[in-house]
Amino acid sequence: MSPHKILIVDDAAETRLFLKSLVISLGFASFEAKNGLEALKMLDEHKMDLILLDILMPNMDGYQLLEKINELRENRDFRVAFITGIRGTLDQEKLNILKPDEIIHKTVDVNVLKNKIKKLMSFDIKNKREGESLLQRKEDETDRNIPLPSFQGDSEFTATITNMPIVIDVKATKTSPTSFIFIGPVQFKTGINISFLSDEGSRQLNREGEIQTLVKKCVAFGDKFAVEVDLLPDT
Amino acid sequence: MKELGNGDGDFENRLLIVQLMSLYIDNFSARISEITDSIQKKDANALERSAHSLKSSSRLIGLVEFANNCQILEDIGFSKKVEEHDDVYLKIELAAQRIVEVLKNKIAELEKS
Repeated sequence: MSPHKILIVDDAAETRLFLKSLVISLGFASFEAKNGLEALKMLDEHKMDLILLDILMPNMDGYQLLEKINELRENRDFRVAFITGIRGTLDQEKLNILKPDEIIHKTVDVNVLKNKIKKLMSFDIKNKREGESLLQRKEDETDRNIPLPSFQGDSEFTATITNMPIVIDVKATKTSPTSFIFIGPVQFKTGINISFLSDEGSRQLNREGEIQTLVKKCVAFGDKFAVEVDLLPDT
Repeated sequence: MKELGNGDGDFENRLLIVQLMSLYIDNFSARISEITDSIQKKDANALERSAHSLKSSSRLIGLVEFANNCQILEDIGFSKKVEEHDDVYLKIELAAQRIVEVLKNKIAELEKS
């Protein structure tokens, strides 16, 4: 299997060389671009798994480049990390719009940098993005006055999972008359049955007693899991 | 690089450091010129970028104090106060006169070991 590919975008040759050495030492394939135009050309020619992107560059800075990348691809199939030596605070408004997967400062310890790169290349981050997309879609479908995942408003309820070896309390948000999403500490397989006890959940979902559900989807969400469940018909 | 080092971690590290320093030397005078030009043109954005670039590379090869002075120049560019460059630019200019020689000596030392 060919190694995963990392594109390093930085106008400083020394930084590119250093990061290339690090990337290769981790067992990944390294590609380089010294500016935004070169980077876009590389992305056209090669499927990358991760882009390490400097922010302060001449002509096209890192923000502008990521904006271009986001325009060109509807769903990013690679991760992007800003690697920056900027001392002050970054442009938070731009970061909120551009949504890089990570921001790494250049002064970070090299072992920390290696771990961050390894984490970015791991399956968890990909699942995290799926989890965020899932919750974002559900937010779009529900009342916009009830933001996810802060769990505010009439659709939220707490529930206790009752059919697992341990009792698990979760916060859930109703997303339709027959489904809800909860954030929990453990992963659930698609298709398994989960039983919940929740007075408020029962009221919102018009059910009595235990609420029986089937797991529709479970994705990593930070250090927890976002789980979407469908209600089973009342027996 | 791994092939060249034959799995010898220390050799690989020395090789990387030599390569980084050589690159730095190759780019050094152009970067100093960029900073000088940006000051003469009173171009704050160019000053910020060129100082930032020199800072990052200097820090990477261990020129910490020089990098700190570049940071000050970068901050001056960022806050659009190019006229305040004098003191720190003088320090950078003086240091720049010695840096290349110091690095060449360091490279020779590393290549011998």
